[in-house]
Amino acid sequence: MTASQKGKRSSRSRGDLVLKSVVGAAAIGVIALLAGLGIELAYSSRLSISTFGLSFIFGSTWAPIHSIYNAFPFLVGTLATSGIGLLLGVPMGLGIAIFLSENRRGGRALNTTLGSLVELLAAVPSVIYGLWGLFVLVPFMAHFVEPGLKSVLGFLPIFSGTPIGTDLLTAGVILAIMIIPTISAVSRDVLNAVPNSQREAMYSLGATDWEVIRKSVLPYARSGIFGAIILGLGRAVGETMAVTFVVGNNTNLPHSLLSPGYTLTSLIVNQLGATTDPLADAALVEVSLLLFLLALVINFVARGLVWRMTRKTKFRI
Amino acid sequence: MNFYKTGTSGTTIGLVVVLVVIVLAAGAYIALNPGGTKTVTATSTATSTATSTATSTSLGTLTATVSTTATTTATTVSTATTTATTVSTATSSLLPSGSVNGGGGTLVYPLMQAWINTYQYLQPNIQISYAALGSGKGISGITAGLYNFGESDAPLTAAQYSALPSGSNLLTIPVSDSGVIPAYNLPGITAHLNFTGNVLAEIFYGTITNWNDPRIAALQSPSVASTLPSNPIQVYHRSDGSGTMYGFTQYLSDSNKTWAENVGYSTGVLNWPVGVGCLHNAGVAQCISGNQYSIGPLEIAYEIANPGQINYGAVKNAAGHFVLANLTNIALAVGAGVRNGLPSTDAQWSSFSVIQQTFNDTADTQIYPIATFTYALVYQDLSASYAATTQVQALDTLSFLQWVVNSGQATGAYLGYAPLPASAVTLDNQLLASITYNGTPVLTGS
Repeated sequence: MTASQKGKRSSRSRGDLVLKSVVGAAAIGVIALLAGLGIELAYSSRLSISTFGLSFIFGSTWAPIHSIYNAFPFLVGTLATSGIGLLLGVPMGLGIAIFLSENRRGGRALNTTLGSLVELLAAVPSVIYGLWGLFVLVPFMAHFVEPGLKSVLGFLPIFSGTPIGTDLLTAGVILAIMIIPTISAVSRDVLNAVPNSQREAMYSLGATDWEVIRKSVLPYARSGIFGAIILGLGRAVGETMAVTFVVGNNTNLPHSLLSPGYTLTSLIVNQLGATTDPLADAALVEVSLLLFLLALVINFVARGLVWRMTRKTKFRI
Repeated sequence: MNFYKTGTSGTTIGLVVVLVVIVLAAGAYIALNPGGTKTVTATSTATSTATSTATSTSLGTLTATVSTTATTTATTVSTATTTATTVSTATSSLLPSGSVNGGGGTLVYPLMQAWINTYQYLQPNIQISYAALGSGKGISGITAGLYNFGESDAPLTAAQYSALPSGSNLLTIPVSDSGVIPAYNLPGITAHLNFTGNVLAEIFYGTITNWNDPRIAALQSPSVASTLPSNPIQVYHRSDGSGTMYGFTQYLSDSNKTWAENVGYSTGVLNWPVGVGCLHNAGVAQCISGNQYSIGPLEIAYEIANPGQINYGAVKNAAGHFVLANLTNIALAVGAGVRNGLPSTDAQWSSFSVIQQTFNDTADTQIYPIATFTYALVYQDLSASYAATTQVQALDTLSFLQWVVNSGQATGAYLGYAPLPASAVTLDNQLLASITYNGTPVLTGS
């Protein structure tokens, strides 16, 4: 090997070394940031953790006068509103994605226009959703939707109580609207990436459009769609301003979907800056820690499920 | 077969739709709402005497003009008058340039904005910033040396006093006052209903559930009592931490033992037994006006800024009169509250409140029982390391606060804040005069 060739090789491997260390540092930095966040949250809430222990998560009493801070009602509120958001948003988002990817009438122009407009929903800041919710959706729910729901399904305990509009159900509806663009955008990309050979094979066997979608396209894209749903759930759990305006902000444990509730995020918004003693401060940080852990758990569970589903297939997101 | 290829026609149509929607929305907004940017111009002529009394007099003029961005002629939406006093502030000579950082509660935020705008116009070299993060953050900020002055809707608690730097003396200086009104939405009833603290506590606790409850009817005149509807009461309150709720729940705690034992009062998130929490005063107002047969506590500032939009009731004071809140009787209330002077020790401040001072005041017949101060917090020794204030900042901060306490009081009237009574202004001036830097008082000639 000549001297110049040797020189070129070492400078290229030096470049490799630089690249590897920079990229590695970025990766480690992100992990360090996440860990640092968790450690700081846990440390700042140690007073509350030591005072309440597990009853913070499972107790329902929030009584500042007695210095008791338990967060179960907020946990229930977050899970309930996100659950309703998913229940309403996933069929809509998935339906939009299927329409946009499978529709052949109207041409490409229609699909891309509709797609852009749906994605615009995601561009609206969440506080505007909150204001719109308070001024428009809440009266609509209180005067039309909820009384109608009660007249049909009022015997169910989850629909008991007087409909006032600012309750868990309305918050769930707003969350559904907010996660539809997330779910539809990701699902549309996933469905578009399903190879046409799958569809062609089904058509050649005489399947109808619906059977093609149901039996070959959707199962093929299953893991990607599940990932989209989890992204939507992650957004729903963390949504703050949109929910705070309409959820009702009542610290009592909600007994039905029509009762005002509280979510972890709206508690943080309402309580921030207003605490006057160290225990209340620590309780607020512990609520943030709870939210952080909830988001982590959702993500890990999702990853685990996706891994299990795609263990045997070749196609994965 | 490539579904990924984006058609230019598709995206173009999408973009055009979006642009048309934005233009239409902007046009509708401008057409319906000819108020655009708000510019505050201040011309203060420093003529002679008279500091403010409960009904203030005006010597200079401060005009607020509202101008549109679409160049239609300006319509004066609101005017305010300010008093120029004999207390020699440095408005005649410009202060050295510097920045003043403050932080604290949201109750006084609109007023603080107006004060800052006006004062920066009078003193162009000074930059004042105010972070309205909440009373708790105001107190923790001044404790940590982040602000030159803090602001809080409630005095420090004993725990907060013990968290202050050792050897420090934090002064609590009332800068404005406000009151809480029971606002309600009852179709067909235009009269002002009468309430007592106990009845209000029972309504907000959930003990009284319907509007025609005998306990409510007993307080009204017979003609009004017979028109009370049988509908259930829909309760609203603030969801976020607020000095307004602190004052209101303190009044409920004083009035009703069940409330005091189970809910109490706080600037933070409380366990309201019934009802829906709406975000900020504007949220509460929207919740009440959008739902019939509802009731909720509102800051008087909102009612004054939006007169006639929401009906509100009178509250019975200790002398037995049902008082309908306005700036005059709120100012009278805080004046009665400081009749014995301001607290001097930390312990006294922790338990001080105008509401509790006037709760048993049977002598003052015209005072409104739910009135609160809002306070500025400044260290007495601004040269100390924990105060984190330079000499220039000390002069700028105290000049601003002195202006606020004297000339700035009239600005509050049109925003819905009652001016400080003369007794409070005198006490404040004494406090401000006692603040030193390196041993010498910062403000001279006051």
